[in-house]
Amino acid sequence: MREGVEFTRTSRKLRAISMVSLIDIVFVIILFFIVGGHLEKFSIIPVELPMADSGQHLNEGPIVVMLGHYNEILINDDLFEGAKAQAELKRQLEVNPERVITIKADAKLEANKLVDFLEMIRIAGGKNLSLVTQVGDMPVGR
Amino acid sequence: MDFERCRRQFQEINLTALIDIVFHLMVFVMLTTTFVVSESMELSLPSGKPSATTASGGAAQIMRILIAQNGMLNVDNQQMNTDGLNSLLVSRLAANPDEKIAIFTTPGVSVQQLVNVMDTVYLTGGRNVQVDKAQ
Repeated sequence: MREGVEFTRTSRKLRAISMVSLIDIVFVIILFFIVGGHLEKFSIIPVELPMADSGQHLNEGPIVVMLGHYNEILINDDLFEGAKAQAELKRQLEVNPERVITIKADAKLEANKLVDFLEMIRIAGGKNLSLVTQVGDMPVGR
Repeated sequence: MDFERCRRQFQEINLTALIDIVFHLMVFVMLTTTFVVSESMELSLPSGKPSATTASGGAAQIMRILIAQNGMLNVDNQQMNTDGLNSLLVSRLAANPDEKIAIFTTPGVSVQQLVNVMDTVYLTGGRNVQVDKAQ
């Protein structure tokens, strides 16, 4: 009769992987994004700001105008068409003509459209305005 | 009396739900965060009067920059690129820092091209800048 060798069977234990360090890492990533960036405000029209190196840190004015690539005009998050935009600007500037108008124009928008809009601001009685740019290494088309 | 001591069982807290929440938080923050630094540039309103895009005898103190669609610049009837404008501005503004600079845009010129020229002017020390459409 053959003599069999007896092996002791190792008992398999189901061990849970510790997730504590993973949570730590994820929290650090979240902190990095919160501290390093800022939450982007949702906008109806996508506007890619032109790049410039000579911009200055100025606070956003009370009137924020967005000019989209397809000549859309958004005044304080409300969409307006040509003549109505001028009426709205006039209404907002009636309170105080010195109010700063912050313009966020798309980089690909035709510059003549921007000048037309500046003319509209002049007629509406605006005086102070600023053009928002973004910091970039090399502007497109330079 | 003989009390039976109840055995303390060490139970691990289930972290699966927490991880789910943290991952959702991370995805939300990653999607909504932007690292774009926005700045502002001063802009003057157009005069509202038709102005000549080329220099005439009486108004030699105004530097007129006409931007063409191909990116070339016409500065006081001289064709040049951005580098040429840069050196011209440096010499002219050294002589007269308050020199008026009028930038004219033509059809087809983008806001980025206009901003590039304005950027060059501001970086060389120009302050008296006005933007208008070419007549």
